[in-house]
Amino acid sequence: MVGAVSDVGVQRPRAVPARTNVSALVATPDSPLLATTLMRSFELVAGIALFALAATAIVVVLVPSSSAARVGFAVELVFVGVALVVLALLLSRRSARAVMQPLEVLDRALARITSGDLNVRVQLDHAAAEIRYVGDSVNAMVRELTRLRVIEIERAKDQRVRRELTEVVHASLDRDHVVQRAVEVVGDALEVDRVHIRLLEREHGRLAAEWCRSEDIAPVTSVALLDEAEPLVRLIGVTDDRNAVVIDDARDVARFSVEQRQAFGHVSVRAALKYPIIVGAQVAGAIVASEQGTARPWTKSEVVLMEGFAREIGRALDHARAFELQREMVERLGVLDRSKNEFLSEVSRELRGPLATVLGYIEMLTDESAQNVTVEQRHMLSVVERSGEKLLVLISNLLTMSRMEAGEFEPKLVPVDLPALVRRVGEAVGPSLANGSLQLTVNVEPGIQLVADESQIERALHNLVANSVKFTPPGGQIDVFAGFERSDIRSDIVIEVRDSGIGIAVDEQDELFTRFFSATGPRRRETLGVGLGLYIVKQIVDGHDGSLRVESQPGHGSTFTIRLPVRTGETRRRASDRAADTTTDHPVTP
Amino acid sequence: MSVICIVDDDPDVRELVEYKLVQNGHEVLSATNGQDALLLVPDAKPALLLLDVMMPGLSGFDVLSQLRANPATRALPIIMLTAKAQDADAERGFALGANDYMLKPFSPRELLNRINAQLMLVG
Repeated sequence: MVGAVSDVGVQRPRAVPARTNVSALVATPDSPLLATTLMRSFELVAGIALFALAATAIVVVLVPSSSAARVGFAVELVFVGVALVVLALLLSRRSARAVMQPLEVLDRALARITSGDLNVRVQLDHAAAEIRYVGDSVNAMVRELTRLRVIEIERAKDQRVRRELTEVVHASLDRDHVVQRAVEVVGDALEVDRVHIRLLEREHGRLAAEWCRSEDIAPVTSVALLDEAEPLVRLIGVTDDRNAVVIDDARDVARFSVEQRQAFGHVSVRAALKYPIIVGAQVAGAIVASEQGTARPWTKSEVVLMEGFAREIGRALDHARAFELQREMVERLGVLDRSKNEFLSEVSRELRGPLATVLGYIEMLTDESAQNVTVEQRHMLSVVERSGEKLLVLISNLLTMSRMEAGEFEPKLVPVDLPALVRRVGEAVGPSLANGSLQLTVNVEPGIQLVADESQIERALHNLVANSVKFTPPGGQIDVFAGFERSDIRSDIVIEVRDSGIGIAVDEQDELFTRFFSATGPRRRETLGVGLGLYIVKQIVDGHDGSLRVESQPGHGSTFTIRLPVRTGETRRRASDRAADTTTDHPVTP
Repeated sequence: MSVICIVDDDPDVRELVEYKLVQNGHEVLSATNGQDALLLVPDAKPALLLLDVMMPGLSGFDVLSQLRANPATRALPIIMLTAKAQDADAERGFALGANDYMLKPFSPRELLNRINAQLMLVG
């Protein structure tokens, strides 16, 4: 710590009662006023004097003596007595006034003080010493009250300023914005010439923000750092020091060397207050308030205020840093996601070329025109062809997934001929029904008006049926049903695929529609895909605001149910526009 | 018998198509990229062009629009042959003046049928 904090010391008055009971100073009707008391006492004195005078006169008259002398003496006595009485009365009045006037002054002063006026000073130059002493005490009390009030006002201002700073610095998550607003608020609050914030970057403090009260103030940016001026470096730069640096006067001969004083002069710093900014647990920078031309004895409350500022700025910077990291992370993930999607669609395209040759040659080899292919070779070729077809499905699923993830899979809603669609799917799956050992039945309710993306729904149904084919052993049964399901509230179009296959364990049913899900257990051995088929079904159904359910028990087959909302042919809006809009769904009766 | 030109950067695809077409009595010219195709086609005057889309250098769409801008090749039947599987790509191809659009992998038999259909339309 370079400097000492000077105290806002108002000297404590000598004789102020710890608790001044103001109301006790006001006379009450029960106790006689001092003036009355004094008057009465002097009247008493005058009475006694009068009485003594009368008594003397009587004695003089009664005691025999020469009458002339007696008369003269008596007259003298009477005069003296009257003079005494008058004197006594005069004295009493004067004394009463001498005591009363200062007391009245005090009384008025106290009345003003009680009403909140602290500009009152009691002036009792001619009063008695004791009363002047009371007056001094009243003055001291007023000073103390004033001091307390100033402290109270300062505290309220500090709190207001800190609140303001907190609001300002936390209003933004942008680091540069935070520090810029902070120097402005701190500069206003401390009423200094300039405030700057340096943030630590690669060992050096980068000037992050600066505020100057006016154009006459030289910014610290304009001066080069002088390494030899150690206190200056500690002040202007950023060090690992966690303490405040308080410089009341940079020209303090007792505290700074000639070189140091010159260095301060170079950067136009006469007084400065610095507090480190701590972000997390590290010193991240410092905030410095400085005066250009005048010394400034920083008060303790200012230092405390600065500490609070530095802490708030540190917190705000911490938030900003966390936000920045998060933003970067999200951005990087976004880039990664985009490049993944691009990669997927690129790869799926690249795979299609070679597959074209494979499948093309197989077709040519198995054409009737190819005469010299043996039955055995023909079988082998059909296996190769089937594998090629599976690969093709896989590739197109990958491509579909990458398009879904890239948000390029909005359904195009058109009226769909559902019976024809179901029939097409049945025909497409037909060849894979294990040479007739699987039975496929199709049952479509007449009159269904489905409005949907035809190719997407066909694909969803195809994937469901293909999934059932995959997991149904020879001799099994697959039933496809499409129809209405009505309730009081709404009616849905239901497409159901039921199989007598190996079923799905309950704990796997929840994950069934997630990406790359692969079953465990007996399903695992049967699985050839990468787990995209059902995920795509789910995405398509979601895109149509529908729902997809599975009911299954291991060993007892599975039932997949797609429910799609009923729409009229005119409702050809995009699915995303219809979110939370259910009132336009008009039930259509078959 | 017609002269058919195929433009594709994949030699295996070129060979497959050539094999199928020659087997069915056509004569085949091939080019490996868009620039060569633009040089070859106006001179060779094929009866039909099979055009890949994704090629290094000029894309199939570029070649297509340049051929359609040239009066000598404006009426040439062109079938796009591509791995670009999205509807939007097909739409673009048709908008630029393609006569047909086939997705890879394709059936050589179906390709032959479509070629013959196009040739028949031209007469």
